[in-house]
Amino acid sequence: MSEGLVDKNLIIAAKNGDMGALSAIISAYQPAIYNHLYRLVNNPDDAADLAQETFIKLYKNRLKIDLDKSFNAWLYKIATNTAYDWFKKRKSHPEDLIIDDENLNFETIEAERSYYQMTEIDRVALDMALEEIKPAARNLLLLHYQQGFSYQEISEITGLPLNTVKIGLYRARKDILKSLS
Amino acid sequence: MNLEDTIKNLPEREAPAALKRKTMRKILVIRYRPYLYLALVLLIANLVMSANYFYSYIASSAAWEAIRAFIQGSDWNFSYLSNFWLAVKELMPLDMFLVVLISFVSVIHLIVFFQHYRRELLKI
Repeated sequence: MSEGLVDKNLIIAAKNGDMGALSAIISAYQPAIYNHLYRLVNNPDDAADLAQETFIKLYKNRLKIDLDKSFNAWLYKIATNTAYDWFKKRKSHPEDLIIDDENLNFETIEAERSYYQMTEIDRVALDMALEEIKPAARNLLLLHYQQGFSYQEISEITGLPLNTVKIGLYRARKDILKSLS
Repeated sequence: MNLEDTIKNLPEREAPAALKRKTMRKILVIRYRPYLYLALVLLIANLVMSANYFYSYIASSAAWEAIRAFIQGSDWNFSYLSNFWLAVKELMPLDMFLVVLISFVSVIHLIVFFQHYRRELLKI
């Protein structure tokens, strides 16, 4: 499970409209959110706009923050939805935002996974390969491996069923290795 | 490194230095938008009331005569001044009171609004 970057009291204060607390939350999360969005959209200016929009949505929806749930996951859900809306506005291929979960089971995925853990990957090549795969697949990889979210949390962030997340991650790993080769 | 570790260790993309400040400014504008709209409504109400007041005032012949005499300056005398005062006195009770009241409220509101906005801006 990914850990939150800010104290719960700060989140409560921001929820109550304290601008100082909101400012502290933005300071803590902005680098990670910007980085995630940059990797999703592959453009610094668009990533900056989307990060800004994400935090504006955080402010507008602050009363909906559920203190019993992960704030981290909730914020990434906003960022992901904001990025997906951006892709839709740019008329990207709709299938790029969908995870296909046909004809696979979780046992197969876990068996294949050990292979990826053993394979040596070049960082620069991976950076380029990430840009080539579908945004939805890229999102899953980044959420799981870079941000450290669990399958369950990714399911909450993306709104996909748990099994689809597992299969989606498997396909994403496969796509990226294919792209690397 | 394997796939998982390589993704984890991908280089960070650094956010523009001014991004946080720009974001907070936009949030502050959203936060204070209702107060700003209220200030504008008060200002417009004030302008309408003032226009109405001065229209009534100009339309009064005694006041108009006094203004004309004042502009011409040639045959200006105290009778014009008394006529002018009578006209103002006649029109003042309701119109003047409302104009003064709305002006006062809108000025106080604008001062409070900008003080809050400035204070919040300094917190960023």
